[in-house]
Amino acid sequence: MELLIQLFLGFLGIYTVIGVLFALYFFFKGAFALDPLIEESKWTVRLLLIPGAIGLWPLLLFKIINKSRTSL
Amino acid sequence: MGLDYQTVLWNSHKKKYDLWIAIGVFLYLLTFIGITILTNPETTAETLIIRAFGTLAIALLHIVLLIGPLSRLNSRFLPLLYNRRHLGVSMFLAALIHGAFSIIQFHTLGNTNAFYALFTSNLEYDSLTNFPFQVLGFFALIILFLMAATSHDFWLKNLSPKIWKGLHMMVYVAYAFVLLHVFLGALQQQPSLWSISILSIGFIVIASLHLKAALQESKIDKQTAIKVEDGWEFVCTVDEIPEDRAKIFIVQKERIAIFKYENKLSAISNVCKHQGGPLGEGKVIDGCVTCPWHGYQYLPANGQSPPPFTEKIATYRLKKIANEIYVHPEGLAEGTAIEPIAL
Amino acid sequence: MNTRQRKKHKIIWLLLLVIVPILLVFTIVNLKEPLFTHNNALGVVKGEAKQIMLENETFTVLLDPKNTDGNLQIFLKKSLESPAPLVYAVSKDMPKDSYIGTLTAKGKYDFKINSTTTSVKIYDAIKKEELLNIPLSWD
Repeated sequence: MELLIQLFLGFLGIYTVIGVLFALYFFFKGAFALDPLIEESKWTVRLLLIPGAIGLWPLLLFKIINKSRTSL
Repeated sequence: MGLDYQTVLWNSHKKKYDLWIAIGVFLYLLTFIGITILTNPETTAETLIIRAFGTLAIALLHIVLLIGPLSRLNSRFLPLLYNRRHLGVSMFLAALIHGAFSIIQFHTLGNTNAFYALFTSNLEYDSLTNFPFQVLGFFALIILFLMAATSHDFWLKNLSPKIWKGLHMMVYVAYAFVLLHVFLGALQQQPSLWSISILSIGFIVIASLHLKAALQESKIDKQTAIKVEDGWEFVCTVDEIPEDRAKIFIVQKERIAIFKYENKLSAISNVCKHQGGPLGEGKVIDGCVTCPWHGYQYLPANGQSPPPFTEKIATYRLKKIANEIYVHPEGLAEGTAIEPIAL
Repeated sequence: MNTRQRKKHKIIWLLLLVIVPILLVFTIVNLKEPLFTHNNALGVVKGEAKQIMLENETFTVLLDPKNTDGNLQIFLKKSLESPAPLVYAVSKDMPKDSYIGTLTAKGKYDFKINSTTTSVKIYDAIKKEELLNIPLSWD
C-alpha cells in the first residue's frame, strides 16, 4: 500500500511540475493558439487561467495540438 | 458574451452579490471565533482556523448546492444563480485554508513528507468506518480546485460546454467526499448530535429539493403533442403566447421556445449555448431573445447571436393554421435562418 | 439543461441517495465513542484526589482510590498538538477500552472510574496513536 501511495504521490508531483511549466507556456503563447479572442483581452485574464492550465494541461495540450493540425 | 475576455464582467448586481458574500463570510467567522473563545478559551489559533474555515466551506457548499433546484422551483431565487460561480470560488478558498492549515498542523511536524504522512497516517483503506477521512478531504479539495480554476467563460468555451459541465458536475462527488470526511473524521473524534443532525438535515434538504425540481421538470418533459397533422405537432394558439415572450414546448425529447415578437413568431432551441439556461423563460429585448440567466442574446429568426458574437442555436419550422401554431419536430442546423410566421 | 444533462443529474442523484445515507448510517452506528457521554464524566466530583499517578510538564494525573467509585483528575497543563485527545479507561474485565471523555483544552478534568480500571489511556484519534498510558495504583 505504501508503494502504491508513493507511486501515486510521485505521479502527482510530476504532473504538477509539468503543469507549472505548461502554464508558463500557456500564459505566453498557448492561450493565443487555443483561442484568438485572448489577444483582445488583458494579461490579467491569462493570469487567472494559470491554475486551470496547471490542473488540466494534458487536455489543453491535446486541444492545442489538434487545433494546429486542423489549421495546417 | 463579449468581444474579449474580462477577468470578471463586473456590474452593479455582481458587486452587490459579492459584497453580501464578504459580509456573510466575515460575520460567520466572527461568530464562530467568538463562540469558540467563550466556550473553549484554550483552543489554539491553528485549531480555531481549521474548524472555522472547514465549517465555513461546508456551509457555503450547502448554499451553492441549494441554489440550482431553488431557482427552478421559484424564479425569485434566480438572482442567486446569476453569480453562483463567485460563491463557489469563495467556498473553494475557505476549503483551501482549512486543508492547508490541517496539513501543516497534523503532518508537517514530523520528518516525513507532509503529503506522504497524510496518506499513510491511517492505512485502513479496506475499512469502511475507519477509512482515512483526511484522504477523502484531499480528493474533495482537488475536485473543488479544478472547478474553481475553470470558473471562467474562457474555459466554458475552450474545454467545450460538455467537458466543462461534466467537470462541474463533480461537485456532487466532492459533496459526498466532504460528508464522509466529516462523519469519519471530526464526528468520530467528537461525536455531536448537533453536528450529525445539521449535516443529515442538510443532505435531506438538498436531496429533496433536487428531487422536487427533477419531478417538476419531468412533468414538462413528458408532455406530448395533443394533435399532429402531417407530421406537424400542435403547440398552442397564438393568443396563448404573451408579446415578447415564449411558449416552451417539447419535440423529440428536447425543449424548444416559440417566441412572439413584432407581430411574428419564431421557434428556437430552449437551451442557451452559454450555460444551458432556459431561453424560453427570457424576453425579447431590442429584437433579441435574451437568456434570463446571464443575458446571452440570439436573433429569433436564425438562432444566431447578433454580430460580432458567434454563438448559434438550432431553429425550428413553424406553421399557422387559423389561430393554431404547429411546429415541425425536426430541428434545423444551428444558425439556420427561417422565415418567421407573420401574424 | 438539455435532456442528456438531466439524465446525468438523475443518475448521479440516484447514486447519492442510495450510497450516502448507507455510509452515513454505518459511520454513526460504528461511532467508537458514545454520542451521549455520562453527565458526570467531565463534571466536578466531591472528595479530594490524593495520589499522584503521573506528574510531568504536560500532565498531572491524580487518583483518590478510597472513593469506591474512583475519582480521577487529569490536569492538562500544556496544549497538545492533537486538538481533542480521547481518554479511555482500560480494564481487564472489559474486552474494549471505555471512552470516558475528551481533553479539549488546557485545564482540569474529573472522571469517575471504578477500581477494576488498571490504566488510563490518552489517544489521538486523528493519527490513530496512543499518546500516553498511565498505570493506576489502587493501594
